[in-house]
Amino acid sequence: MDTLFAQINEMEIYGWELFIGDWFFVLAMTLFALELLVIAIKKQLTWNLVGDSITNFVTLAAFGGINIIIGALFYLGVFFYVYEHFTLGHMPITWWTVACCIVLADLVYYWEHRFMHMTGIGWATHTVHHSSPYFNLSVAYRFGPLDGFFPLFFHLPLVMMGFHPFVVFLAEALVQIYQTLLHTERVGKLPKFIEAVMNTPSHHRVHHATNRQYLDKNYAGVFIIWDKMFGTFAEEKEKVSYGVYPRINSVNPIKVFFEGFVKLGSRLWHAPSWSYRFKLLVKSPTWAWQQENAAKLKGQQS
Amino acid sequence: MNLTMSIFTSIAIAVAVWFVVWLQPNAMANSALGNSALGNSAPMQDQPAIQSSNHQTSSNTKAMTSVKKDKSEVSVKGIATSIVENTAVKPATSIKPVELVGVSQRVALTQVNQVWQSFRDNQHLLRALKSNQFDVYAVYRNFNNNFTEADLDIGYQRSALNDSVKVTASLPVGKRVQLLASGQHNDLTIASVWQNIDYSREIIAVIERHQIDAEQDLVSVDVIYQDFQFSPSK
Repeated sequence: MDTLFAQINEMEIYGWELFIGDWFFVLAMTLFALELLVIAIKKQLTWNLVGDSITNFVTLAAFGGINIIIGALFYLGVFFYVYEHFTLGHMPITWWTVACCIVLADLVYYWEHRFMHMTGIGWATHTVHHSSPYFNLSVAYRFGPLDGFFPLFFHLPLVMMGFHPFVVFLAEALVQIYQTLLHTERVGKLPKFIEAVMNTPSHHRVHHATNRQYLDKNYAGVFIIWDKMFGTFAEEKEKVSYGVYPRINSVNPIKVFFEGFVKLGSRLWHAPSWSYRFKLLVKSPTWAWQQENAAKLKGQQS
Repeated sequence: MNLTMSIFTSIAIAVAVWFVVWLQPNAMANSALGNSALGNSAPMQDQPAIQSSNHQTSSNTKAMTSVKKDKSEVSVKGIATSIVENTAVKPATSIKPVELVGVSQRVALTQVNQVWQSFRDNQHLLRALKSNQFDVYAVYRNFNNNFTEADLDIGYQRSALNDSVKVTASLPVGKRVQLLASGQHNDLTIASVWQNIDYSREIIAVIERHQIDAEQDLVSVDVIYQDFQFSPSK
């Protein structure tokens, strides 16, 4: 118990974040190599899958480059400025605080993730992550251009509550790490008590599905209870089909990385009014698709 | 659950967790800082350094860990290294030097006000203060030959801060010679006591201590000379 409540230096937290981040990447790459090996043994390895995986890592590099700028200019600056001037009080930095922050960071992740799916601007960047027709560990590293930007606004309230920015970063990183491990078809369903509380590969396969009954479900990061509580849970029952509609059908990293924004830009350009443009940004991509279908039908009838 | 209810539920959960964080046992947190024995009492001047070597019995692993940490902190400044090396098995609470959190700068002694200003401007530290009663130390050391420059550390005693902040310095350990007794003194008086320093002896540090509360700022000044500095090898 002493350890749980012992005060930790902020730089120690930062050190843990770097250590976990670096070594987890090594672990994830090892697991991915093993996953590819199993896929190859099952004779399911195709050039398209290899190309898709390489594209995933190219998007990771592009995302990383953008994120350095976002991280340096926004995250650190804004988080520390808010922490100094607009907090309800500075919480002591202990492992207990970190544990509580992980729970809240996971709740924040749920809302941020739901936002990414339910708004045009969010989907423009997050669609990259979903556009792969495959589901393996490399897909976890398939990022869109602004995937690192929106989390800022969702995690800022944690800093305002008094969590030290480094504690928030660590909690955010741990949720992301857990999420990364869910991107696999090699793990089936886990024991019931785990499936009931935790997010699992099975739950996350549902999230990546294009099957109608699975759409916009299972946004959770670590705990699936958020989805169960807020009515966005679906259980994996039938075989999952991955990707997005319409299919991107490309392993060109530039096309993959910018496709969402190109599509959003095109919709904004051809929008009939400014209010429609605004709705394209804040309403769900399904709404935009319905509007376009309705317009097409109207055109055919007239 | 609809969207609005979901958002309100999330806010309620966040508030509940926020309370849980604040309900953690602060007393345990403070004791775990490892500075309870020294942190809340007077600094090292009342604790002759010679005592430090007399209790080399504990094999407490935790104490060893703390001692190792102390060693790195102290040896960086090049002061009292020998004390730490020779008390490696002593419980942490009795040998941990007083840690300071603030600013450190090599400065011309005529430019000291700038460092004080920089220290006062640090809002992060001000917000981290546990109460309006705290000690501030200004430690001058590593003087140049003509005593016009020194390394100056100005900082709050770490135990006065409720936040986990980076320690910037430790108080040098050794026998202190009082230059100015604790009291309310003006800047001129404080400056004048520097004339009472015996510059013929090697000076380890000059320590200015401010005991501040809502009503007053009690200042005392001490000096530590090399020949008085504790070293078990002597």
